[in-house]
Amino acid sequence: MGRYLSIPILGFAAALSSSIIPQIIGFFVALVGSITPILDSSRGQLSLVMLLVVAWAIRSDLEGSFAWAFVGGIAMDLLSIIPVGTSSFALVLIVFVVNTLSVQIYRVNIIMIFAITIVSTIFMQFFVYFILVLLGNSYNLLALIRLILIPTLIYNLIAIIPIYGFVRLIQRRLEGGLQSTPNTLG
Amino acid sequence: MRQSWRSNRLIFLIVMLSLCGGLMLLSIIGISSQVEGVAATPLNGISGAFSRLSVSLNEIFEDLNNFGRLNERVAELEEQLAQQQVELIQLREVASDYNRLTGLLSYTSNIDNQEFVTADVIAVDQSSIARSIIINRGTRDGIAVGMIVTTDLGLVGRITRVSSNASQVQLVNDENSAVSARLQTTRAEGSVIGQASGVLRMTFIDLDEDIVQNDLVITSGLGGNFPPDIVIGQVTSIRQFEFELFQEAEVRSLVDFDTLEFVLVITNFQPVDLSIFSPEEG
Repeated sequence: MGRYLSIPILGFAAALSSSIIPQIIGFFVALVGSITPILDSSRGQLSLVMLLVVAWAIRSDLEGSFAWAFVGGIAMDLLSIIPVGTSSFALVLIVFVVNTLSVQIYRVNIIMIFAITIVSTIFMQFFVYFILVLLGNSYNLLALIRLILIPTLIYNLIAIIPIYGFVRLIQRRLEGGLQSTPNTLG
Repeated sequence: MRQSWRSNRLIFLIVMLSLCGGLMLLSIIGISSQVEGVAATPLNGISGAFSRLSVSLNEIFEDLNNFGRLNERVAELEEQLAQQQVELIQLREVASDYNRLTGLLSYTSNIDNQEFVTADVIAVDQSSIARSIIINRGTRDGIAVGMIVTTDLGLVGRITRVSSNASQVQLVNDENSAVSARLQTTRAEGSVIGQASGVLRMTFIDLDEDIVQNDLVITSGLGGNFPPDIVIGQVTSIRQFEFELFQEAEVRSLVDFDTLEFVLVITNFQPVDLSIFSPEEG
């Protein structure tokens, strides 16, 4: 059931990421840009689809996580200039690592969630950069780190906990109760 | 048992990666473009609906954000309007001379002949690295790859991918966008390229040329990829070093790419393929 749910959730998330979220982030930057120079004139965006996929992978089986990674990646790429399959490729690798980690660790804590978010964001951005460079484009790497990667990391770290909470809510509803989950946050 | 479970996980990973890699390959070659177009249709529809909502949200945010500065801005605009009216009268005189002379030469302006299709912006690029937008017009509306996208304020970009009902536009401020340009007053030639910060830079301007602050930068038409005389932006600062072969100017586009709602696609401009004139290799 969870893997079918990925299609509407991630489809809506991708559509939100390319329409309303940039406007909300623009407003947020206009408000706090003057006090946090790192966000001023930045081009970072919240990676909503990636965060949903990662949050799902923390407590899901590998098959379900792969389904979310595949669907999420396709939804992202269909609304982007990058070739379809690029984000799926990166997300599949990310969820494999996340799933391997979460089955080996008894308690998933907040530090681990933040660490996963940081590593996933950096990997995802560099993977997309690498593919775009392979396709013959050229970008100023240092400027991209300053203007895109660091602000994106900040937004993702702010958003991961509510997103994780939302995903856990869905997973608990699907599982039919709290008692069936072996791990709990905190 | 544990070993077999681990190897299954790895096989599963390899299968998934091969599937994604295959999709990427098909997408790069262009074989899957029609399927992608069909698959993107519902997403474009949802994105379009959200975009309309975000336009309303944006207007509310803008109003809240700008409320304090509005009075100051009104005074500034009134002063500018007075200056513009003087310039308008002068330009009308020039235009009447121009019409008379072009009539005599049986010359037809390109701009007069341009045909436009209006489009709504329905999505911005998911990857922050590349700068592109998606518009709600596609092959059904006569849109093709290479067509030029503008607004009344100036150049927006160029169509790079088309499906039946949507098209992707590479913005002029993308780092991989380059437009042949000239300065309006001095006619100095150069190339306008996008920067990571989103601003534009005009490069390859001869050191002998004078660059005037606030001068308009327009497309030159050289290279055949863009029609001439489309406004790109305005010079905001000049960079000149003795040890460099060329000088550069920072250009501010009059178009706000972050809040684009509507664009115009020039449908009757055919990019010129100049590759046949380049010397053959070997």
